[in-house]
Amino acid sequence: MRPDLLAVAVVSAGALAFEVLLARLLAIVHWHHFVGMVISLALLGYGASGSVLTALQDRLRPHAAPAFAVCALLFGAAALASVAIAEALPFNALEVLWSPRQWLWLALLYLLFAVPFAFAAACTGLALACVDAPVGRIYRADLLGAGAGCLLAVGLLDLLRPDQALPAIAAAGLVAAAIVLAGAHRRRAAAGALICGAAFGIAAASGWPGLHMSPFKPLPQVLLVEGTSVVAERTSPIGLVQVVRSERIPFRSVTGLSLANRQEPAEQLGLFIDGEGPTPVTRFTGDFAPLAYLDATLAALPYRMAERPRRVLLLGLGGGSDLLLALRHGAETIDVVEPDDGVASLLRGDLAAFAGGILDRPEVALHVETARRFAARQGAAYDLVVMDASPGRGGALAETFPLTVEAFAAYLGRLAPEGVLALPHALRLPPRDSLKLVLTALEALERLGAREPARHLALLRAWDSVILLVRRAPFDAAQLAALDRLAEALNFDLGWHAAMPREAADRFNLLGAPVLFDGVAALTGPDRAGFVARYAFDIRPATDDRPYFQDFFHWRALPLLWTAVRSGNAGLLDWGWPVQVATLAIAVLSGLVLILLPARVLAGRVSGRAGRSTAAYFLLIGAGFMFVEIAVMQRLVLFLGDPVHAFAVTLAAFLVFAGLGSGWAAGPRRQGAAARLPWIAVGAIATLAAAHGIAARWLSLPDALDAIPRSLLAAAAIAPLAFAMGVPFPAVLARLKAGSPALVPWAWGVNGCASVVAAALAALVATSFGAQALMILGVVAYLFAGLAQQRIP
Amino acid sequence: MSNAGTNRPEAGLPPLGRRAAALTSASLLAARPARAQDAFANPRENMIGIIAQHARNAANVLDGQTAIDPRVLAAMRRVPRQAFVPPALEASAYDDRPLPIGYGQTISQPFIVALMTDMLRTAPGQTVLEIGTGSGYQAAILAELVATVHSIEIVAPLADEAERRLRQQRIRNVTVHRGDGYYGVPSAAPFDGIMVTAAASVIPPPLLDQLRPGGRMVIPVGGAFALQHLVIVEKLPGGQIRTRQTLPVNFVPFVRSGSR
Repeated sequence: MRPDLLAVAVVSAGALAFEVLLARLLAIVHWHHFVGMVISLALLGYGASGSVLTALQDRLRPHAAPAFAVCALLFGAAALASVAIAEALPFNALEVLWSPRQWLWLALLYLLFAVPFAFAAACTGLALACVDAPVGRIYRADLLGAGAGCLLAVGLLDLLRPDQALPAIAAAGLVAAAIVLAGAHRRRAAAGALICGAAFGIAAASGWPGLHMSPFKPLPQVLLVEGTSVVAERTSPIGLVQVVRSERIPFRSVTGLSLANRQEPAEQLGLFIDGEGPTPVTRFTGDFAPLAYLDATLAALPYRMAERPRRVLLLGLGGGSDLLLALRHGAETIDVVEPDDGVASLLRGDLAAFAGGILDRPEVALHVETARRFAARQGAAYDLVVMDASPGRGGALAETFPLTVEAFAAYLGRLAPEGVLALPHALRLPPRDSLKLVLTALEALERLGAREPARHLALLRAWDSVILLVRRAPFDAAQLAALDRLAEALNFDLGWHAAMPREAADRFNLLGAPVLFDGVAALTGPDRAGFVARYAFDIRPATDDRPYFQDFFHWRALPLLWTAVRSGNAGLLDWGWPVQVATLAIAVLSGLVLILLPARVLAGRVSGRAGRSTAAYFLLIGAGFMFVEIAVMQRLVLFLGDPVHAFAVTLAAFLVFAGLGSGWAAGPRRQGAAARLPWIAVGAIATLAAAHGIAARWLSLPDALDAIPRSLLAAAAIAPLAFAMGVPFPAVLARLKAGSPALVPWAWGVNGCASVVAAALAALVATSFGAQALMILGVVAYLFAGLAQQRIP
Repeated sequence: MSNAGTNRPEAGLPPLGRRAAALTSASLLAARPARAQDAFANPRENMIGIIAQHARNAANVLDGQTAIDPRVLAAMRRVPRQAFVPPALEASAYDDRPLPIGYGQTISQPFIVALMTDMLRTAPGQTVLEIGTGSGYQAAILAELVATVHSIEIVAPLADEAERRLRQQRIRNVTVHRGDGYYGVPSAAPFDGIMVTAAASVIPPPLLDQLRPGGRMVIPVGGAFALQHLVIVEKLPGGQIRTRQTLPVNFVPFVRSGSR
């Protein structure tokens, strides 16, 4: 590979790795709500680079190599500096509803992170405008580098904490600078760049810039208590797991504990993931007597109902409390399914003595994979399946494939005829999670052919949490009587079952009105659709096409919610949608500025029509690429398993094969067909996207493949589509470079802005209408792009 | 002994009369010399107005009443909130919002302080326990309403700071304890009310034991910046425990029709 193209690939790898790393870093330091916003807006740096290059291109062209090297160096330096400066900003995500000043800090945060991306993008933009090589090859280097960077980042994050991995990623900029300078026979300057790289290495070794969590997160608060310390840590691209011991004031975290319980909880360690927690890890010596209080929790009900469950499936390990309960009740076979082996490796390693080796007992088998993949396999039937349905860390717009209608149908499919699916979750008022879980279960039961699905459900609650029990067969009178007795003894309230009177719903833990009973009664009655439409929260069940269980936001309820928020009830407002819409609005406005400002510079140099058509084309292919890519990625998550690795594999495959497509478009044989090339690509994209839509069902089917062959199969499925998607950009940019070279950096910037706007829009389309709709929108964007390019001379 | 009703002389009046009675007694109490510094008199008065406004939206939450107990409002008029926030935030002390006070801790929005204090149903002569001293502001309000306040703080520097502030305000009926809230303060029990201002994932049995029959415990769920709901734990005269979960505001979860 030519040194300048290699340098493009290296910077591009660094930029993508920085993006992945920043997402982890921000999730650890702050809350997830703003991670997507900050990063997607920071990527406007790509647009900004195009604008600046448009203005400066004539002056930079004679000095392309040093200019590239300076930009690459500055990318590395800015990547480090932006993180260090950001840590000093007093941004508090929790306070944005209350203090306008926080919006300023937030804006500063994303401007800060836009700087490294702008320098990285300037490198590719400079190469596209100035390097004497076919556009397709330059773009290929950019995409191949980005694909490699994506895999590199996920690999690095498997080994290092994000703050530790940062200097290595920043060093990519210096390496790229050295490559370009050495290629341009500027050896001393190249050596200087490498020395700077060594300085980054020293910074890394000395622990700069460090990782400072927001003081409002639970972990830093716990660490203020005298006698607390982090005793174990595991890092992975999924999360930073930290275990805290408190010597003086014990952790006592037990969810759904009856107020009738008198026993003090056993000794616990606090497990924190990305600073959130604690999830208790309980001391276990083999003696169950100190754990008797667990019998007084909601989670114990399925074990105490009637027949003791012999075969138990736990979908999620948590801190091991559910496993202790299953062991205490003498389950003979316990399968534990957990996609992240971080906690399991701690329980088997550093914490083995404390946790009593619960994962290594003969009746326990740990399966490191997703709940969906495990449930879809053929295997023995279970008497009890437990799925913790409490909100995850991903926020309202995170995909939740374990909580879709299809997922529930799969779990119910793994139950023995008398088996129970238990779904413990937090109590929220007004009820949201509980009602959505009920509706999801009802639809799953209906799909499985249940005649009276309402009779398959029972809902019970403690003062702080709720459990939904779903049976494959209807509950019989004896089982319901057993539940009634247990509820009475433990002072739990009956939320709902088919045989209870409304008056029995609000006895020990009063909600003012039997809101759960009334809600479930409405959902199991004739006016289900009307109730769902009128409810102030979106309780439509999640499906595999629209897998957003945690999205409860209804625009119509915003005025109501806002009044409540200002009166002190900020917890009512789900942030996902408002933040996403704000992101889209800011992206559109900033994008317009970044696109229109350089248009003035270009005004005298190119015809208005050429300018408009160029803008339209690169906007549309930028958006089309994002829509199709995100839709395909979402579907493949289910097939591939855990979301982080699925993200890495699919994104890398998209980038690499699009890169190869771009290189193919630059081949000498294609030059004769240059005018037809965009239409050929658009046609191929439309056909292959349709094929993906049809194949989606097939791809979600279970199979016996291991992770690596599954990843290869997914990459193969992506390959032809991504290959075609790599063609439209270089095909037309090469035409511009030959006919109107002044438009090249602008087209690059427009494409960058389009990606940012489209990514923000894609999240809204996917949550509202599903992945299928997003895919169709992507294809439509490509078709219009085909029309727009005909007007580019 | 149940304290219900002892602090609500206007309990039997119809709604309009009740509000008028509330206003009268509030203004009478306000006429007492305030310890708070005068520079903040206006913001403090605005704060009381905003609390009253929010309270009107919280009628069902307040057992159908439309006003906060005037004794609570009078206490909030007397305690200088600015003395319990970091100096840099003094100017915002009376804003209608929670404020950060350092160490990742917060001082709750004034309305929530008023509401939670109201829910505790305090009366003169009582002894109450607070779990989580934080800034010391809530303890200072309680100190105005009852005879003795015991407050437990788990973070030592916070406890030191709160104790200093309370001393500065010459509040002598608050004792700040350092350590574990789980066991309460057995030597000072029973308590007529227990205010839990820190997050609680279990309701400790020792605290239920230390609550006098008829007494109440108030627990917020969710942080000060994102309050979810409030839990009131009642110990009935017979010793049975009941909890009530309520939003701090009236919120009817229905929109007229249609989808997103």
